Amino acid sequence: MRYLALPLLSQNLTESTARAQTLSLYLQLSLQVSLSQRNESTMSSSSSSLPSCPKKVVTLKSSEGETFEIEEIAALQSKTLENMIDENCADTPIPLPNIKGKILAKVVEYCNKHAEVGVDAESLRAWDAEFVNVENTTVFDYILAANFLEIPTLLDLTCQSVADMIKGKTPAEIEKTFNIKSAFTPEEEEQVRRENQWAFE
Amino acid sequence: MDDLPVEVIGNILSQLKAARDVVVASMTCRKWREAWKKHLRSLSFDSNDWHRQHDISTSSLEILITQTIFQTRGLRCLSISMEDADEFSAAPVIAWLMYTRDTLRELCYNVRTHPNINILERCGRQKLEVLKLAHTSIMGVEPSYQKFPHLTSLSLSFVSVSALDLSLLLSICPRIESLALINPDITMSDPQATMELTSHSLKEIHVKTISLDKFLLEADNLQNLHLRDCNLEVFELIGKEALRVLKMDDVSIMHLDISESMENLEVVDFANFTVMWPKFYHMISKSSKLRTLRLWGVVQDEEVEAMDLETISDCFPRLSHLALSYDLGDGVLNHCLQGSSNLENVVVLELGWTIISNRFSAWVAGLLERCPRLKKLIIFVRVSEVKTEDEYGMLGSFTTSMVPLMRKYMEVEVQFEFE
Repeated sequence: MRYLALPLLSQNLTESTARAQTLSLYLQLSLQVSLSQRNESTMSSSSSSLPSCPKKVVTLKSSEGETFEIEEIAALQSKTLENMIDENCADTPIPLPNIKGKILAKVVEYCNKHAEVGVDAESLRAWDAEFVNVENTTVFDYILAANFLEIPTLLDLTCQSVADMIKGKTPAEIEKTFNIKSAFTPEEEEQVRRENQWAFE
Repeated sequence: MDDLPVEVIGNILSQLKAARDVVVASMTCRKWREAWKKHLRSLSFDSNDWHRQHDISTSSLEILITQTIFQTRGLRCLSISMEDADEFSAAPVIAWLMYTRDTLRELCYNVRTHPNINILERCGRQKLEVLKLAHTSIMGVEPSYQKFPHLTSLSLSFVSVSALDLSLLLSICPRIESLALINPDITMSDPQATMELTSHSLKEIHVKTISLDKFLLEADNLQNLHLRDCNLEVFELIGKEALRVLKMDDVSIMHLDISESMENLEVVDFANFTVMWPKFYHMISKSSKLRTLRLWGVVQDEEVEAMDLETISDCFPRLSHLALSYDLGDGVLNHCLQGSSNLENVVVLELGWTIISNRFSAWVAGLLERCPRLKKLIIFVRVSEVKTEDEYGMLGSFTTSMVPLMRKYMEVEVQFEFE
């Protein structure tokens, strides 16, 4: 508030002058008050940190049509969603036709957890370990979702858990565990094996 | 699994890291083979993996590493650790470095070669972000054309380097944030063994096993300082209010000079630290944001008093984790427990001793009383090698005295750790 020019009230003032000056003082005061009120209202509409304003939320739609809400701040972990938010395409529900509802729910959960503040590294690691402690097919679905939505932390976490499953297994065992179909022909396999004989000794 | 795109398979194979595992996995099918050839980001060769194969010759190792690396494209992280192997010849090693130069972001290099390779010349400097060198030597740093514009983390382990080259090396890494010097062999031209390091971007430094006449560190943004097994006549630190963590483990500093306000210090962790205590207490007395304080086996002169609880509670109102291991000689106990102010925010307390004494139970009782919000108490029980009758007796009576204390303070979780 700027300083108000206070009229000097001296004994020599006539009554009418005093009245005029008091009125002008009140006018200035009311002007100041209405100005500061306007300032406050413009501030509150632009700032999103005031508790009375709703947090921005992004809606995602799974392949079956189910919708899931995720706070913008958590959605920023997905580069795909971040780009959409930047280009203002995130105001309507975003369809994700290749992610099932069950998986999308868990991905939203992951993003929410990793957007939280004040979680210590140890407990987050433990939470992550639990998150990937699921069936193989579910992990692959997480991988596909993380790849599509470009969530690097989730992609690394899930790929690491698959790597841990592969470690120490022979190609035949890996084929069997993961039901892989496109194997080599015997000639191809022989040639490739010869090139890297040392790994099988 | 078949639905996964080939780049993702590349990601999975990259997480395997160990070359043998990656090669075996890549044999699974055509798509995995393609992932290995075109999308592998990370590869690691560790001589420990070959222990099972007795007597694999160095030339065989050279051949298989060359063969494997040259089957990949676009490698970003390469780790070659030949700790137990004999010297490699320089040619294949140079070939590996040149082949990966354009894409490599992380290099861990622990290979002895004959003749010696100047790694800074050979590795790709433009993109490198992490460099870990071991058992090698650095020579002839040339600031005029050598620069590491993206290097953020540098680790030198058992590396031989001159003091001048080391400080030049820091100057050519404008974005360096983390520096680790482990058992460095600092060659000096001066008769006085001095090391001067300056970096505006450095955030953390870890120095292990070094003995110098003078160590001057100028780092405005330093947050984390960790010295271990160091013997320094003079240590000067010029910082600027960024220091958060200070750790000294088996360190002795004759003259300590810190031009840092210490106002943002959050963790002080000292174990077997020899320094001029009064000066140091004065320095950290302004660290009102301190959360963790550990004074473990700090050598006490006869004249120097241990930090008492009154001072601790006055200087560090936000302290939540306190660990003390004092030798409770005559008068020390009373001095430490003097006053009556409580440590209001301490939730974890760790107590230990170098020599057990009968006063220890009084010490524990006194502290329990002064920490009203305590949740966890850990007692480090040290049993000396030569166990005397007396010691057994004192251990016994201490344990007995703990029982009523634990009953009295039921909310406190008590743990005993034997050293």
